[in-house]
Amino acid sequence: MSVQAISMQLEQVRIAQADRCLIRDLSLHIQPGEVWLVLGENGCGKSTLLSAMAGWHALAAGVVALQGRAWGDWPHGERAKMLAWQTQQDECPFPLTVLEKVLTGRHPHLPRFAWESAADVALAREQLARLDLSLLAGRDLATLSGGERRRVALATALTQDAPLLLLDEPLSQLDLRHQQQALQVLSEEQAKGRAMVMVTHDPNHAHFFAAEHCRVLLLFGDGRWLAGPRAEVLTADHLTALYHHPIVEINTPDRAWFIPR
Amino acid sequence: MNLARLTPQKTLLTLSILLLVLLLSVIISVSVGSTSLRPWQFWYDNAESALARDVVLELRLPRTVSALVVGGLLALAGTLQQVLLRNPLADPYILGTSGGASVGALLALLLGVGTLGVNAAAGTGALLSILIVFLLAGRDRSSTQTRLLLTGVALAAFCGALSSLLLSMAPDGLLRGMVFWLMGDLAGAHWQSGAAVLCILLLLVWPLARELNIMGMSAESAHALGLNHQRLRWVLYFAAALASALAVTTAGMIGFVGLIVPHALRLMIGQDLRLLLPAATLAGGIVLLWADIIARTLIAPQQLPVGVVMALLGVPAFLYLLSRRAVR
Repeated sequence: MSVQAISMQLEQVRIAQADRCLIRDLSLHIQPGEVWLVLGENGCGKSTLLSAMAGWHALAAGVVALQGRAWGDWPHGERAKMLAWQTQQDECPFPLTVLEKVLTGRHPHLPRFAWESAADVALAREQLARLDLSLLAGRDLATLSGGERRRVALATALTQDAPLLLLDEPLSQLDLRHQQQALQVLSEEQAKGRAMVMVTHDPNHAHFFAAEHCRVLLLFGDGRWLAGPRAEVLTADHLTALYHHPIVEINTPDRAWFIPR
Repeated sequence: MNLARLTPQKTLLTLSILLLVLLLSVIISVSVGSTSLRPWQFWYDNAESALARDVVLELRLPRTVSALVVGGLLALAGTLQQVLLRNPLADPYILGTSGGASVGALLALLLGVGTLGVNAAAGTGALLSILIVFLLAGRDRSSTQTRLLLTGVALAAFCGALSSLLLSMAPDGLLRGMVFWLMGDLAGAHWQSGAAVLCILLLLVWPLARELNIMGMSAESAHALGLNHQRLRWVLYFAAALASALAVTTAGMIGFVGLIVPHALRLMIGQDLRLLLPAATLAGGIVLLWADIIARTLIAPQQLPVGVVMALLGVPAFLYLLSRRAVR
């Protein structure tokens, strides 16, 4: 499965919620195969930024472009083949099985009158298997736990097979083993050349991805931001300023850990 | 059989079974009544048979078809409204859509415009009431969505009051016709335009079923999967309003078909609208047909209004569903 190489540019983007400016003059260039971790306090605009990158939340100023073409000019169907967006809310008011939910990821790839093919089902089941969900395929979504639902949402985004993934806290509510498993899956996808923007509350997640591809974006919630390679941005000082709480760096033989004091 | 998802085979099988049940129900419906007939009497060549043919062709068959059409329209309208409002408890009667349609129609009758005008006014009333509900409570994201239901119920009550107001303002000459119209009945109903609209709506909406599946999940998911959310929403508005309005102008106010039928089907066949839309339309027809059979046989030779039978069956079912949701 080859992944199309695409890049997204943000130019002088301003994100506001009501009349509060959350992010000012953000310029980023997301390259194929890059993983961007978005960190910040609750309510600092992480989800809103992802929503704006997906073309849902309206920008207060600036441009988001994919392949040099303004995002708003992309036809709806083409956009969904380029970008998958896993939101935080995934409540469905109707009964839906796990497999049905994951198969919705194939929707952008199917012609109007086509039914999901055997290949589509195989792809969906493969993603379920990677996230340890195979046994739940026939279960109703409403009967799953929060963490299981998050994994189903991640499997859906992966089934969409888009070169750019926007993941809003994909690892929250996951138990330790499934967090490690999901991180492993994401780093495999990154190795295939998929670009990812991922909101998380754990700076240590950054170390799962190859250092040369891992970028970090810190959002301070008052318009200020800091973006760059992991080694430059992810320091105890920056994190202390970000979370308004002392963060220390602990070095173990293979890597560094950031923990609150 | 693979139960985890809907397959074309399962769709065909389910629809075939429903069609079979529908055919059986039609045969029973034309056979029972104040005079019971056996279907084979039809082909004898004597005076009794001629009478049987008259009864069946002139009275029972049109009434049967009306029940199928109106039931289908109501179930389709209910299913579409549920997707539009993302709430499995939406129903054109409960949310005041039928009420809006009847206010529009009564106003048109009062002003003395023709049949087409009455239909157009009913459609406008239905559309306006869906819009009001959606604008006031469409953003209700709570899990029980109480605000949405309350807004709809309040609007339905308001429409009921408006209808009474219009009736009290009506001159005596028009009053009888208006009351008769409001009560509604399947006997002597004109099913032709309803049937045509039902077919057109199904042909229009069924190809969109996979997109509507995603619309029902969440607005963000729909956007992320590449749907033109705004356009689809307008399609749903118009389709649901048109179906409710035609059901009301054909047979008056009948509630709960659009609620119970999709709900029961969902438990059996799942939410996939590729099957649920046509299945609900067929099953809606079947349910209303049986309500009508009960209505005209229970205390025969007297007849009950079919809307009363539907409400007597539907309200307990609705309350049961509501209480079960509250527990979950």
